[in-house]
Amino acid sequence: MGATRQLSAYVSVSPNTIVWSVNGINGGNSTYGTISASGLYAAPAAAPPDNVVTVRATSTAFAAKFGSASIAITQKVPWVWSTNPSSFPAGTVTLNVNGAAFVPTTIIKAGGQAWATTYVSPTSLKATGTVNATGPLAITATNPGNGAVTSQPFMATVTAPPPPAPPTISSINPSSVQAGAFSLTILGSGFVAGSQVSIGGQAAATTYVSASQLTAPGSTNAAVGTLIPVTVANPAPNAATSNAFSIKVAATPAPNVSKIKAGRFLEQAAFGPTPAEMDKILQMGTDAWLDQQLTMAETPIPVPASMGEARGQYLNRLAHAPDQVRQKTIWALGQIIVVSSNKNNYPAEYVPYLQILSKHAFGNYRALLREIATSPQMGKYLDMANSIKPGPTSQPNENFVRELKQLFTIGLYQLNPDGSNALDGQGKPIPTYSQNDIRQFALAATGWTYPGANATGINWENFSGPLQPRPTLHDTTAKTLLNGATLPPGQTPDQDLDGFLDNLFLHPNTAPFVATRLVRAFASSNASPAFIQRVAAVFVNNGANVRGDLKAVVKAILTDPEARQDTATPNQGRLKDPIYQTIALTRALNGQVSASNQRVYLFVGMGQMPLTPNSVFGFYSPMYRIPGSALFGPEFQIYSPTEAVLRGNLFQEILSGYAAGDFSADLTPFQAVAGNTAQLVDAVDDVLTYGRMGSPLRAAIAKAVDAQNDNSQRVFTALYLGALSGQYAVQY
Amino acid sequence: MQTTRRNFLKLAAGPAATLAGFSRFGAMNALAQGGGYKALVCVFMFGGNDGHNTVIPKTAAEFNNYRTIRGNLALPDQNTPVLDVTTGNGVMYGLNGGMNGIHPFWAQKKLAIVANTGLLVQPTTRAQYLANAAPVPTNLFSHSDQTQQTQSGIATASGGTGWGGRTADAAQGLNGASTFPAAISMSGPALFCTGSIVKAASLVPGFDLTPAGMNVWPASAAAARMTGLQEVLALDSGLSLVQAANKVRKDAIDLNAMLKGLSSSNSLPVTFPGTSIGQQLQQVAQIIQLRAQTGMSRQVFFCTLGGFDTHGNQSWTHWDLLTRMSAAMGVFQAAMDAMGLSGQVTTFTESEFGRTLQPNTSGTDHGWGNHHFVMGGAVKGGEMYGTFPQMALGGPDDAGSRGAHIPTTALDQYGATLGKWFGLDPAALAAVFPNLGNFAVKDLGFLA
Repeated sequence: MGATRQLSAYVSVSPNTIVWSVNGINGGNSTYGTISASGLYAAPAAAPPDNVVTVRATSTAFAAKFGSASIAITQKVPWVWSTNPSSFPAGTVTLNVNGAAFVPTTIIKAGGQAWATTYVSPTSLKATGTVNATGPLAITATNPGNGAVTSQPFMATVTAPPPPAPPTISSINPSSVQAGAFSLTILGSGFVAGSQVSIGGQAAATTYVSASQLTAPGSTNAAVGTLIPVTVANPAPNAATSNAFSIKVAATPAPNVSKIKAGRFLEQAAFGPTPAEMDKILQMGTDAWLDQQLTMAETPIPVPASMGEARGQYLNRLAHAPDQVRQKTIWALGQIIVVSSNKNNYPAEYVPYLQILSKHAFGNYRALLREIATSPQMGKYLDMANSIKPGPTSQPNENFVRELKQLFTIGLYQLNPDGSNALDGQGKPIPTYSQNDIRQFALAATGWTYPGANATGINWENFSGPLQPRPTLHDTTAKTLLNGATLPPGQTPDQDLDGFLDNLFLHPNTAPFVATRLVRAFASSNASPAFIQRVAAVFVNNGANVRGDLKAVVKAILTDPEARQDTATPNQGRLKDPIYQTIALTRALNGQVSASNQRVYLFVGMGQMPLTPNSVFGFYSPMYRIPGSALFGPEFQIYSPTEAVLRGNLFQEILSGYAAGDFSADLTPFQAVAGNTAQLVDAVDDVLTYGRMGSPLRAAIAKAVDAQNDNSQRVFTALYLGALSGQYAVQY
Repeated sequence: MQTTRRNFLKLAAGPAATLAGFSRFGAMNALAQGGGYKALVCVFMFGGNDGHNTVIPKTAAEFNNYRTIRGNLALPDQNTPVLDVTTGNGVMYGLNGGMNGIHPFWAQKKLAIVANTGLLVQPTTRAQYLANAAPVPTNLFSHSDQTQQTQSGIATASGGTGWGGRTADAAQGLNGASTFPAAISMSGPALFCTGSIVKAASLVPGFDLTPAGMNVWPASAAAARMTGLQEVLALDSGLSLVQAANKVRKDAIDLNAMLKGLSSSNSLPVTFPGTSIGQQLQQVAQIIQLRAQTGMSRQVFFCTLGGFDTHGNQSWTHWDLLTRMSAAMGVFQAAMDAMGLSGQVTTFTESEFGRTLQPNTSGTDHGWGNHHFVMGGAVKGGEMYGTFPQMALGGPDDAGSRGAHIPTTALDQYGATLGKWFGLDPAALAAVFPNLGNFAVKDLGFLA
């Protein structure tokens, strides 16, 4: 293109002048090229589609005489002088191509295959392509278009590809493991999808993450200090095994004995540790701490405007009242002597009952029973208020006296001092009372009404003060009580009430009955009979010949050697109920439970709406056994799959901060170590389980943490899985 | 090998295995596709329903006796009308106006009454009872014990299994290899549903058992978190209570996978009331509707309604409770009719005891025998079964002087009639109700 060529013609006739034409056009044109009178042909600037032109010299004398020539008009012819590199291994390669007459559209072909070509200059190109066959490889350059033209080949050499780099381990996280199960993250290079991790010579279930990362679980029971070699083997066809990188078996950290002791104590005596309460016990010891608690001023219990507020304030007190042991005792006594806001649904009908439990928590059980019996709250709940002597169409209400016997004092069967059933000669339990006994007590409990305008007869519900006796509505016949006791005829309502309360308070069942329930609430669902008997003995006599001293009973439970057994035995502990575990989680995370809590309703689905058990039997029976097991597990009665998921869902809201206005958590100690898996798991183990998680649980949590994308998710994952674990669900 | 639900749950541990599990219960049971399906639905009235104000004698003499004894609690009153029903031999009774939700089924012969039924060890007369001459249920008149015995179906002992669960156990063969829960409580864990072979499950109506907080970006992080939870729950800590707690959470994951795998496109032909009992019965209907996917041909369901312990202020409260219950039951029966399952699903009521005929000041106290309802297309309805008690204090049916009636039909007979219809043979029925042999009549005849 654009080149010139001199043509000549010889004419043998005269005159010998000629006319030059191109494709029949005299003198040619810009499309096909021009030709001068002297025969100088100039090719066009661009090659025409029909790139072969005919140049003709025609005699002017004889127009039929002519001579012609064909001229091909091509692209500029490129040259490939060399490539760099000129010898390279099979695979994908980028070549610098040196040559001449390159244009921006020049294409490099290797072995006839077009490669991706980048124009650099008329003498330089870059070309990238893949070649698999070894040996000589023809590299050509083609200038495309009309009259396309290809260079002479340059012969490069393709060599055999090198073997892939063998797998190499550069580090392993963690670098040391404790006895038991663990999970390793192996960092290095040259890993492939089929790479196999071996730990101590044993193939491990390997997960390929990337060419530089694998994960694999393992376990060991090797002695501390043992080095366990870890290798990675790549599969055929490039089978290769990595360097052996050793991890060390580290000592399982000695459990922090004092912390376990303090943590367990606070789980029983309080609603679990807060960081501050933990520090306090570590400084002053459990005994001094308990003594301080048992003399601490009562946290006031106000009567708010609504039951909603009463529930929020209740949860707030459980979490934050300084007199934790008293709050725990109120909570435990409230599982024995029950009033539910599903019937008493205004604060005045309910909250004074909590005040009575608080007032007597470290007082005497007999005084507690007396004040409860004559409270308008219990009077309404179990219908003793306005139960009057028998008449033509009415009979005394039996509800209060039945539950007083069955649930508050003696239970259904005669008990041994260790809480086990006493048996008759045929090995059967012996009932404590009959239907007739119920009736006798119901007669004795007649003649009580609410305070109000009518000083001698019945008043309608009024919660401004205790029930008042109405001698004219009281049955004054003689009554037979239990164990041969009687009430003489003609007694006042007060005399009969005190008579039958004494009859029950002094009944041999009452001490082991109350002891069994309090031990299950504070310490363990499956306490030994000896533990029950020791506590029952303190109920019988506090050491100063006083029966029913609750302060002494609570202290006896919390200081009992079985309660203070810090090395777990297989059946030890109790399942945390929803309220307890939620409060304890918030306390452990140094959070706040709001007194104006808007999330209380969530406990409905967990079977434990605060202050609202379904019936006088409470949220769960202290005698419930774990399904399919001989073991007691009262709290399992409200721990179905559904209830467990709902409880976990509240934990999710707390740990993610959604619930912060109601249940908050201070996550800064965890965020501070969020980037270090081992330290993060340590922190969770320390706060939730006092370092008792053990390697398998720690490894399972660590593995999930390692898969998270950012630090906030790492913190959430560690705490959430810790909170959902069975080890945190159980107080052990 | 007998496949228990627990075995299935092990199989269904991973996503792939779960899918395999679903196809297993979808494919296995031709009975469920055809007319072979049967379900028993228990509606339990917690607190002890006052049967005396639920079914009222309308023959003149007995109605007068009833009015006299009941005093200010007698129906009809300013709250509550009485809905008439007439038995096959022409005796008139009245239902509490709160029963209007199911009253129409009486005329359609889908509703029957079983009179004065309750816990008995053996047939017992007043004379025997007063002379302590016959064994009777332990701790009569006590809520907790009578609730437990009514659910266990054993009046002499506190069993660890319930008669619903044992009935499902006995029908296990009819469920083929299907491993969907055979006894489901819609109201928390229930002794009634606990069997020795089948495992009871409990569901909150409409509730999704997916744990919160498992969605996180990227998907690999979410998967690792869920896998982490499963690993945490699978660990053996060596502590019994920890193991039991982990198992509950693990059951939740497995159960959720099962329910999620069921078709969610099904919709029910009727709208259920928004009450608790309405929502419980709706979920029962949904699970029944999914019988083809679950492959179940025999299922037992347990629903509850509380608040029947009407010691005081009974009149309005009682009417309100019955209204809620009968409205939900009525819609449930309409749903079964619309689904063509009327004859295959039988609903029945239970309660721990009846109440005293003689009131206290404004309520009634714990009694014994009670009237119950059976409903469904298989019921030979429009009829009363058993013997209606005499309206008399200290009368021949009275355990004392206040009209706590000694049942004339035992729970064992009531349950065995339901169990026989469900497909249990005499040996199986004797195992479900250990005291059934003490009663001559083992089929009360109210089911076709």
